Amino acid sequence: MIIPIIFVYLALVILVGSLSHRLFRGTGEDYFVATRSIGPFVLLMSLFGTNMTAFALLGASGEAYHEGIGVFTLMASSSALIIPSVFFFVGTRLWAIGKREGYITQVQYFRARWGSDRLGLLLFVVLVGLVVPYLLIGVMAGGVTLNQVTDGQIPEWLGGLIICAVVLTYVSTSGLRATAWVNTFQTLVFMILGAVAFVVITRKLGGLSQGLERVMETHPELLIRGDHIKPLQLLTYTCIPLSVGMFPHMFMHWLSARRAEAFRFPLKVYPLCIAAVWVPSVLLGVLGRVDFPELTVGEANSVLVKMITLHSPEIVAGLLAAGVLAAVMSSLDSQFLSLGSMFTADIVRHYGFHDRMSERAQVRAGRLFVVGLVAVIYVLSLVTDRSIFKLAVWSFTGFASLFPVVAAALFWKRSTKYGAYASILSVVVLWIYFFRLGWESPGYTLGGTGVMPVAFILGVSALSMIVVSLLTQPPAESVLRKFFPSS
Amino acid sequence: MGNASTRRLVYAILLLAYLLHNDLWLWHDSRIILGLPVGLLYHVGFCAAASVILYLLIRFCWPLPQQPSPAAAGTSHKDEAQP
Repeated sequence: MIIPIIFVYLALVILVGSLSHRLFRGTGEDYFVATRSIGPFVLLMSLFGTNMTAFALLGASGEAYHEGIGVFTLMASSSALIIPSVFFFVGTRLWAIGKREGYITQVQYFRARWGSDRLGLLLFVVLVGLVVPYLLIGVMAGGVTLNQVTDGQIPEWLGGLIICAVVLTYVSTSGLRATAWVNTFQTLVFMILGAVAFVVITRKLGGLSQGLERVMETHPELLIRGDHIKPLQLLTYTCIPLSVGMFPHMFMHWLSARRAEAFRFPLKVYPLCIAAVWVPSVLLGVLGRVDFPELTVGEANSVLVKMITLHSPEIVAGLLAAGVLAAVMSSLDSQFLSLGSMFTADIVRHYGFHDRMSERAQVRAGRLFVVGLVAVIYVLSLVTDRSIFKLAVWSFTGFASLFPVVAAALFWKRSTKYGAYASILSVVVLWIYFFRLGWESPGYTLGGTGVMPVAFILGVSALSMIVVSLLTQPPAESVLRKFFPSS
Repeated sequence: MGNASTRRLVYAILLLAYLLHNDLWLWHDSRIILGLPVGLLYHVGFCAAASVILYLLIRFCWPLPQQPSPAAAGTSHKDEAQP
């Protein structure tokens, strides 16, 4: 019964994508930024659904299984303040510049802001490289969910493949418009079904209080932060949500807004949505420790799905699993699309291949690039056995460390392309260095103090931007007039 | 849009919230309050407070010039696509 429910759901997702195709206007701008026509509610669902990925459901519950309630503190409540603040200070300004100058990718903006082609190319490579681990967790989560919920009837390799195929299908249909509408549909699905899962499971346990009492008896350390998290770790984890300032898929969704005012509703509601999704995920991870006491780090990724299959009737389990898939796919789609947009706009068009290619062929080139990248990620997903949470944190670390680049571009007129180079290169070198250390010892912090590598890399990146900019020639007046017209 | 001192006050509240996120005083507190571990309950409340702070930022510190509404500008709502 579970398999038919899941396949009906996947068919529904493709159907919603196809329906939104009717609104497709057939232009490049409509494909990439939905002709900048998205209103407040769809914008909220797109921004939130894109950001709430396998990380928020499977990653959070898997991490809470081992580390307890502190996982909410580390990622959810800090994100509730910082992510909408970044939308407020950075997103709205980038929306205005993007609309005025007709940009569809970040690289176009940074290239023009600092008048450097090579800087744009470097950023393209770095951004694509950092999206890889983020995409990886989505594909892994799709495979894990389908495998667990069907009791192994759909192997993980097939599950990951199915999810990739479904997402690629509807993203290819009509670009960002389909992605925004499918995101809205899927975000509602995973929020509603997430709440249902929480109620069904806790009732089966005799209520949340009784469930927590059982945790208190067997694993009381999961109900406090205690030794799981160091105070410096909590403080420096707050750097991680800055990553939204540099996510290519966030930039793409910002640009889709119809008016600047469309941001207002999403900004106010975003923190509440975060709590609504993360509280059940974290609590179910903690409660899962009682029912499944001996899971390894890799196995804990699926504790949420295990809880669903253990405590829900088969039909409900199928629906709830669909909710988890909804969260996974609502992120993968935006990431796939933004990569395709970047390849088309920043490589094909920018380097003149468009002279020899029709608009349709350019979009096809973008799709082929995405399919190739997804194929590589799919193969990686077959051989990776890591915590989804920690893999995601590494991706976020890279993007967050690039935050000084966007902050300087928007707020510091004196910043130069050499400052941006220094900032980006410092992130590349330090990210690779710390990633190697973190790969060898998961949970690595600087000198065991609790300081997350992101705080250090971010500091060096900001310092590099400042020092090198001050040592090099200021940008031309014409550039400043273009990007700071009011001053 | 608020005046300069109101804006400074809202930014100060934002900074204060960032500091209050580090609730060291609840680190080892295992009490269950309102059905939730207190260390979790505090941060659920923090999310609600974040929503209020965002409201204040929008109300008093909006970073872009106000745009005329689509109706005032004579454009239609047809762009708000429906599936």
